[in-house]
Amino acid sequence: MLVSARGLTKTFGDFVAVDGIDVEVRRGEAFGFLGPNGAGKSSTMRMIGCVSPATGGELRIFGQDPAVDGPAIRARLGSCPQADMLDEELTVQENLWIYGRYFGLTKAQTRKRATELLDFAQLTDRRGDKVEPLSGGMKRRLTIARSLINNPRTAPARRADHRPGPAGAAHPLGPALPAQTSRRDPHHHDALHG
Amino acid sequence: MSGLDLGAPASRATRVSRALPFPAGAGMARWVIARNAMAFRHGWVALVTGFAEPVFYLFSLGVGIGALVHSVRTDGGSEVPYAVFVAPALLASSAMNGAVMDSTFNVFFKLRYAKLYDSMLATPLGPRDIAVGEIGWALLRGALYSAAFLAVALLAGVVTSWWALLALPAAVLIGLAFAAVGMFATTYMTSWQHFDYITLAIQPMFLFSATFFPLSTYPEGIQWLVQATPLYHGVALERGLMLGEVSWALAGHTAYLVVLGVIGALGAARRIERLLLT
Ligand SMILES: Nc1ncnc2c1ncn2[C@@H]1O[C@H](COP(=O)(O)OP(=O)(O)O)[C@@H](O)[C@H]1O
Ligand SMILES: [Mg+2]
Repeated sequence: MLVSARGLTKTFGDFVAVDGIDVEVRRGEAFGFLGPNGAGKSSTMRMIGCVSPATGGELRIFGQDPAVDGPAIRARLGSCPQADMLDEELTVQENLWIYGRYFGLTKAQTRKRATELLDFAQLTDRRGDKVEPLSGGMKRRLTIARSLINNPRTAPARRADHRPGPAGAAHPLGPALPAQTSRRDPHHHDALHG
Repeated sequence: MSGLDLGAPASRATRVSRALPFPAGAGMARWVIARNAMAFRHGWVALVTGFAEPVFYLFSLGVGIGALVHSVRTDGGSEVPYAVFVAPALLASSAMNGAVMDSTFNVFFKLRYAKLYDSMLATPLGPRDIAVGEIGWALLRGALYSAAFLAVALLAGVVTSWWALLALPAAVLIGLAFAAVGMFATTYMTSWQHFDYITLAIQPMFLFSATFFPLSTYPEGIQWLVQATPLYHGVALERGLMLGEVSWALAGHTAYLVVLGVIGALGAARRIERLLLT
């Protein structure tokens, strides 16, 4: 089980942004939250990403509690923010290198992974350039590549389990439809979309 | 998700830092420092200016004013040439200025515009790693400038005591106090106009912390005010060391700066947590 939430709640002051949702996401599923603006999708994703403490309910990521094991969970998540938030003071490849180190990867692991990801994102020939002048699409690809840096893999691609997600999960986000499974990464990557 | 073999983040430092009752960190502040060093390589011009300023002051004041003033009686009671008197104060003030620049302008930009800390917090790094890393970086840079300044001061013949060896760690301590408080203050700023407050605090301190004339020349009524400022303690510490006027008072100055640094660092980490981990 990648994510399991029961009665997950987030309030900002008196305002209830996420009102007791139940969600389960299993390995191999690609899962998306759909809903109108302000429904609480981003708030939910921030809780799952362990950058926002849950106000109530129970949340487990990889079976671990974000309140206790936040850094360890974040170490295993590929988090792709809404805004690009790249490090504009660094070059394209430096963005990947330093991000790998934030995740506790060794230098060798990081360099190897960065080379693969640059190729995947078709940014190899821009690797020494500063981020600032890149096109919007390139920045987006770099952001995605960066979010995959901590997912080194040597084993063959895992069997993708294309079972539909937990469509029964009723919550105020509107119909939580499982998104179409996509293979964003040459190596299979469990994907959550907010 | 399996097969993820992380380098070695669960080191002893990690376990210790997790056990502390302070804002969370993963014991990985060094990667914040590494990131800054990486970015700095692209903007090394700043290195030159950071070094040049106090050296210019030393020669313009020490040589210029020194020609008029000749000698000064220090608060420690000795009679020294003006350049010898003013050099420790320039070291202390440049440590302050460097630390404040790094921890206010640069941190503000990263916090409010570049959203750098948001992307760091999406990794195992925690708010304390960011606070410790940013302050640590300010100290590293400060140490570099201070070492260069001391070398110039030595060559210019204004260093008179072996105690001056401790002037470098003392400068780093001054940097710690100001970087920590500066970063703490910056977390409360919401617009560039707020930097006027920083200037408002720094300028008078630079001029009136017994920097350019001894404490005894100030009117008695405001001597206590001078002695309350952090830069006064930095200047007094450096002057005591570089002139070899060592007494227990130096321990007091050191303690003042340590306390300020710890409060600032904890406050900064706490505020980053409040601001970004909502
Ligand atoms: N930090 C915050 N402080 C106060 N209110 C917030 C905060 N973040 C989100 N909200 C509010 O919570 C609600 C849900 O926001 P969000 O999760 O961003 O929705 P979505 O991503 O589905 O559009 C919105 O009404 C938003 O204004
Ligand atoms: Mg949103």
